[in-house]
Amino acid sequence: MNKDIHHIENFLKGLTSLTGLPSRKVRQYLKINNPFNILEHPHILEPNEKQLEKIGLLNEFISSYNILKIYESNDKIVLNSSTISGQYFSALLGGMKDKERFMVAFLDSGNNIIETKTMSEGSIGQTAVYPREILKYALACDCKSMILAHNHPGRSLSFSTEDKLLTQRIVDIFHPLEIKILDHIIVGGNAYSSMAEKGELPDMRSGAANYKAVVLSAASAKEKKNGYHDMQLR
Amino acid sequence: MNYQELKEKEYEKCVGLLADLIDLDADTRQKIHKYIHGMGINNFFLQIESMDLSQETSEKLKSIKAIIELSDIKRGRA
Repeated sequence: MNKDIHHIENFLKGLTSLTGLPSRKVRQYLKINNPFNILEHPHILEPNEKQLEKIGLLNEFISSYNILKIYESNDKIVLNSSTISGQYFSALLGGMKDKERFMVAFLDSGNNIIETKTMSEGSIGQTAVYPREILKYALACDCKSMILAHNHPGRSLSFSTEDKLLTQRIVDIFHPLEIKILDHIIVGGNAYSSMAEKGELPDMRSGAANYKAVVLSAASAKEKKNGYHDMQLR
Repeated sequence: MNYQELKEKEYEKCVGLLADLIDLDADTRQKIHKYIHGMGINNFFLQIESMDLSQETSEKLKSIKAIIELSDIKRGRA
């Protein structure tokens, strides 16, 4: 019941902000009526021309959204190559210029995406990744494998020591659980690089699992040496 | 027109409607088209916070999300 009220309250806020319908009028109407009456029979709230046009657009958009959902229900996103994974994460992370974000795609046995989550987000120079958080989500969605990805706002496509350390640590944690780490993608601008493609992905357990956070630095050793990283912060 | 072409056409239409609905500029429209095309309409609305969009655009998209969420519940698809 409370969830319904929450959804209706959000609906009210969304509808009034998008269409310009007066909040008080909509709230009054929703007390005893179905919210979708407003979309299906907009004249009941006596909207002006502009408001009516926005309601019309909203109705058309919802129809299009529903059609696309049907189309997409037949298309699972399958991350079965470094190229597809690179393109997928480039779409998600390519626009991030002012901060670093670490994401994980949790996959089923056919490499279909079950869920993609942002696991941490930091400043332009670094972000802290907590392996135990990844573990929590991986077990909750019963994934069989994962693909890690993060962006380098400085556009470097090199894997830093911290990137490699984090990947190793995650492999160490998930190996005994039979959850494979298939790749670690780095996105810099519109380009990407794949740890698997470069043959740098650790595939064996190197020691005891370590759940401590790893702080990723966006700058490669070369960038640090050249002072490029400092320049980005100014 | 085959299935893929129909889907592509629907993506165009959907983004066009979105642009008219929340008054998107050409760059943002193109960016959103790329996002929706790359990750799907459902994931797009799940990932609004992750995208490189202005605060104003994000807030408007969240308003649409609130409406389609209730629409999904009413249709028994949530």
